[in-house]
Amino acid sequence: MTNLFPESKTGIVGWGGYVPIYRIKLSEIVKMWGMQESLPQILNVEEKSVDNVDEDALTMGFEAARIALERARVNPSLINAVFFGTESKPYAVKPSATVIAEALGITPVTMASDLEFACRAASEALRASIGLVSSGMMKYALVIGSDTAQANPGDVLELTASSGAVAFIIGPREESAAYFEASYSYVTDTPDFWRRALSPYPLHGEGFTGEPAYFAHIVGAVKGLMEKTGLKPTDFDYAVFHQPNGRFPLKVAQKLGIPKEKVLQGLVTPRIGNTYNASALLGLAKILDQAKPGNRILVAPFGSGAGSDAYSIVVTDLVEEKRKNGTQLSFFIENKVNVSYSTYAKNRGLIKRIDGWSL
Amino acid sequence: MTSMYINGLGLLPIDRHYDKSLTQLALEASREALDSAGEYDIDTIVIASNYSTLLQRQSMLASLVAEELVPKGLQVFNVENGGASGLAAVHLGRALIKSGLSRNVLVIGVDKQSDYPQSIVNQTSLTQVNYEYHGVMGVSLASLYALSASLYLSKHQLNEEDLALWPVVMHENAVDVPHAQFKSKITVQNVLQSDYISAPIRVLHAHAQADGASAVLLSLNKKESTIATVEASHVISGKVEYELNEDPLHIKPVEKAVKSVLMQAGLDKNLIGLIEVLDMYSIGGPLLLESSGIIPKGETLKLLKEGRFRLGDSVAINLSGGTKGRGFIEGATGVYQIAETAAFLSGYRGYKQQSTDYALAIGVGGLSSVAAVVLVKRI
Amino acid sequence: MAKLSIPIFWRVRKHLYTLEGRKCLDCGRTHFPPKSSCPYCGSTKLIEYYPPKKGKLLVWTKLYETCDDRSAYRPIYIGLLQLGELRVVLPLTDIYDEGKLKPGIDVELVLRRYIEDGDTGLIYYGLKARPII
Repeated sequence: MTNLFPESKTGIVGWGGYVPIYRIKLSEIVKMWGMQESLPQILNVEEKSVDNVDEDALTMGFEAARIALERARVNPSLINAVFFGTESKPYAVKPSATVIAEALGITPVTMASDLEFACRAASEALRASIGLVSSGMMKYALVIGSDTAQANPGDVLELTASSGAVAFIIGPREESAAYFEASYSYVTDTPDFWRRALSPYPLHGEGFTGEPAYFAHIVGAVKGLMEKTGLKPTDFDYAVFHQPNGRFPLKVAQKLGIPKEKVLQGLVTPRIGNTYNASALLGLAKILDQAKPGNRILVAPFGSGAGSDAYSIVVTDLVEEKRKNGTQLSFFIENKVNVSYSTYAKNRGLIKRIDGWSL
Repeated sequence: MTSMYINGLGLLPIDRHYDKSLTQLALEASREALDSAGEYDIDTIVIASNYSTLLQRQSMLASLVAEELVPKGLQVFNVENGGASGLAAVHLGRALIKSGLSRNVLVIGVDKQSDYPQSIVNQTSLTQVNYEYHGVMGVSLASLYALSASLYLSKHQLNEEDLALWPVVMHENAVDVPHAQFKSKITVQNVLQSDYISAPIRVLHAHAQADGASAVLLSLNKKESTIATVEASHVISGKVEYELNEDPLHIKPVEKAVKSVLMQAGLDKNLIGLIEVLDMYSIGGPLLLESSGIIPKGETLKLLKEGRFRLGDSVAINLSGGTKGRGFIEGATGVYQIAETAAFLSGYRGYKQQSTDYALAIGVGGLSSVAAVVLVKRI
Repeated sequence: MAKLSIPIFWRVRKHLYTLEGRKCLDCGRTHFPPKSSCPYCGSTKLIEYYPPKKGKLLVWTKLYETCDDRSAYRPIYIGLLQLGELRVVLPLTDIYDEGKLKPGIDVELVLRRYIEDGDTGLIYYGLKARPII
């Protein structure tokens, strides 16, 4: 099965994750807005990460990409595509990808763009990059998923929408810490969650975001992958799903017949919240920080709108060496400083101000 | 060594002159200088102003002033060298006379900060660094002086209290200076309780927003009205970027400028009995004085504590009250420094008098971008 | 009303993203920002120098007197850093405990916003330093 699909010519040559240092406890948000006190427990999320005032999706994406590059050890000029998957880009028009590309020395001979598909834009970019690299069009591609996730203050979404970034450099299998065995996408027109063009915050369909959206598409993608490849749940050592909270991934694993022990290692949301485009993929980064050669990982990101991808990824002998060359995700998860709601509100631009004086 | 004669002085009180424009302030100071000289036949105006183009959006300020002083026209120059603009303008005036292109040069220093709130004034501080890099980063001049203050205090085992003595003495000196912005005393406690501008520099270490204008009439010929002479001057550039200074605590262009001026005059530094030094954020005083070689490194604040440098001492420093007491009005300050040294040497119009023949005016633009030094002598 | 220039930043963006300096082949000293001749010996024999991402904090301050356009960042922490052979003044970020800011601590470079031009204008990005935990 190993060489059946074009994907298997490619793999992850470098990976990196970044989470800002600041956290706010969900109980703070619950208290501020008079929400149900049991919500944090129901969601299985303790606290969420908060970007600093001078951070945004672009700066976080750069940090993750830099770590990926440190692990990949490739000449930046050989990276010929930079894809930035986000739903919180600093500019609606003007790609963040070009700034990151320039800052890393990848420009000017490169493709670059920002992608949108709610939380799965980076995953879409991942599949596209696999195509670009496996076709021989380029040797390496950089994929970044990064968000300073938005939520209407006082809405239940505010309890989980957090900030974080992840990056992968896709390249030849021979240079990879883990290669792609196969991949599959499952997409329909299902508007479970959206943000209109000029709206600062999204709206969501509450219950509708569950069965018709999250579960249907992840199950569709994973089942499609398994049919395509003949793989079964028992073939996987780890399973990483899109993690909007600390419960859905466990529930979808159950539906797919995957034991929860295989999911827990890649579950980061309970500690840092839902980083949207980095959600599932940070789980993958965490697994790569600890997996052994030969391990097989199932990864299924999901994005509202809606769609899911499924990947079967096999870890190689190069993983241990590459792991050492970059900061591990656990460093960012463990090193944290809690802030109050007022600091969080200031950082997130929730406090209404006018321009003062400047020339 | 050719002496240039300071034949007239104008010193406007430093304050927020909301009711007067740049031109009006410049004219008022000019007329005071010309009246005191009894001389109206000027052939050159050199204006020192840092921010006329940025804040008042006015170029060619000298022409506006010339229109009302000498309608038929005369040589006009606008000089900008940061905080050293005024001294550089005097140096330029001296050069013009020395070259024979001018006989009576009216050197004016003027700036207005009160046309905008503090926010804008803070922003203008970014023009005093390498804007493309540090300006864009928000690293203002105040923060660079603050870094130096930290380095200086820790290097010489001093603390914030020691630095606080400087503005206290400056305020004391300003009490009997008619044009000073602040004529009330402050205490070390006052200073230490004031808020940080950029730690460890506090509000009471630093100048306050103000407007001012000063003028000196520099002449080829001695007259009855002559108050003092300019014997030597030098302007030299240094490093704009703080980190490019080999030793951030040693302002090399100040060392070079003072050396040059003393050499031009064939003077030993011990004969200087009066100094007006640009003491930005208080720490500028010790930094410039020690970089000039006049006071040994690390000694300024200690000697100040011992009671040195007051009126009557072998070297009196900043009898004007410096940037804190008299005030700091950007480009105008250097011209104030010349007018003040002339006044304190001569006891002009009842100003206190320091018994010495030689005075040095020392200024810098930025922290080390440019230094200007002028030697003034009693007649 | 947009106030920040496009070209002023665009010309130096690479330097701010990477801290690209110069090393003099004659006297061996390095400098930032990059100049066309060595600020120490005047030689024009210069090569690119990229400092390491990690270094030491030499001295720091915190600036309160900023323009309103930076009021969200106040106070701005600023430090003099030693990064490899390069000495440079940069803003500091992620300072949650001032007590930890002591001369000699390790710092690392991170990409952050320097300033944004209101809600509609440009965002200037560049390197800052943060204490290594």
